[in-house]
Amino acid sequence: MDVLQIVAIGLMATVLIGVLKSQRPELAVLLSVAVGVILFLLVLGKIGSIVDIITDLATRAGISMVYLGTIMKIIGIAYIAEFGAQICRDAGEGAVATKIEFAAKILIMVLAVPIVVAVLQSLLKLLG
Amino acid sequence: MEVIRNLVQSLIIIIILAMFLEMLLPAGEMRKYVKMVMGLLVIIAVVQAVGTFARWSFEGELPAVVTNEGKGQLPEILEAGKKISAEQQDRGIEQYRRGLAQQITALVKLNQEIPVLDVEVSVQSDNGSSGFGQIKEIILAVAEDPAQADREPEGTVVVGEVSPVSVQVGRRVSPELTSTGSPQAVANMVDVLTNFYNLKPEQVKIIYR
Repeated sequence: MDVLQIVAIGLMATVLIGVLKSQRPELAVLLSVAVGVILFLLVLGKIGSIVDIITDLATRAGISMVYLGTIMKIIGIAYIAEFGAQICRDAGEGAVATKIEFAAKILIMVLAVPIVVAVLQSLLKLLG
Repeated sequence: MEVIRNLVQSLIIIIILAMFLEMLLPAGEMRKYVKMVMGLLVIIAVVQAVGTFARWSFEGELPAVVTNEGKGQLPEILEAGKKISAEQQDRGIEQYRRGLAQQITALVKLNQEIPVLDVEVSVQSDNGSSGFGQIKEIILAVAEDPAQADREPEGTVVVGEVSPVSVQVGRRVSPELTSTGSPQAVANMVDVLTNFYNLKPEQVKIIYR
């Protein structure tokens, strides 16, 4: 039944934002952010179980938790940046959205450096 | 056979994990970047699994990720550590000083002729100095009136004015200062202390009360 709640909130927000956009565009952006936060909070509790399953699978596969933690951080960064960029685009600020995405890409690359080095080391050992 | 079974099992788990993670990926611009990093993770996992199968060690050393996390905390932790260390050191020195005072009291009380009221020991507490922990000075408070030594613990006797007197081995002790205990006994006591603790005679002082 959660999905019904989520869809209902989403539809109501869409209608309200559509009405507000013509009258008060600044409030429409705020409403969009608020609805995004509410929807995220609604599914926050369920994310824990997914993370548990992924952790369990990684343990079985013998993958270091450091790598898995990095991947989780990267996914989190990607989501946050995506949400932020979409909100900026909805508000008509495409330039800011592009900057957010750029910053997220840099952060993802920084976090990926240890993994890239580890892959490189493994391949060099394999060839050497 | 068992090894191959483990390898296949590991590969299946890795594939399921990759599939699961791919489902989590956000749609849009960021997807391809996250997918690339995830692909690298899968490569590491597969190489490690194959390495385990072939009894090779492919596990590379994980380089530290540069983060600002905890950067500002380190000096604070070090500072707190130094503070705790200094406190512990002070406590240790104090305990050592008290122990020495008790030891010296017991030692001088072996000589019944000299009524010792109090013993004060000062110790080198400067951590940086070479003689850290060594005895700097021993001050013995001796009762001018022998009966005073017996009364003193009750705390009812008013102690008179104290005049500092230093006693050195080999030097003649003036008889007017040693109204109690023979000069020879005092000199012997100082001698015992200097020999026992490897001190110079001028480091042992006697105060008559």
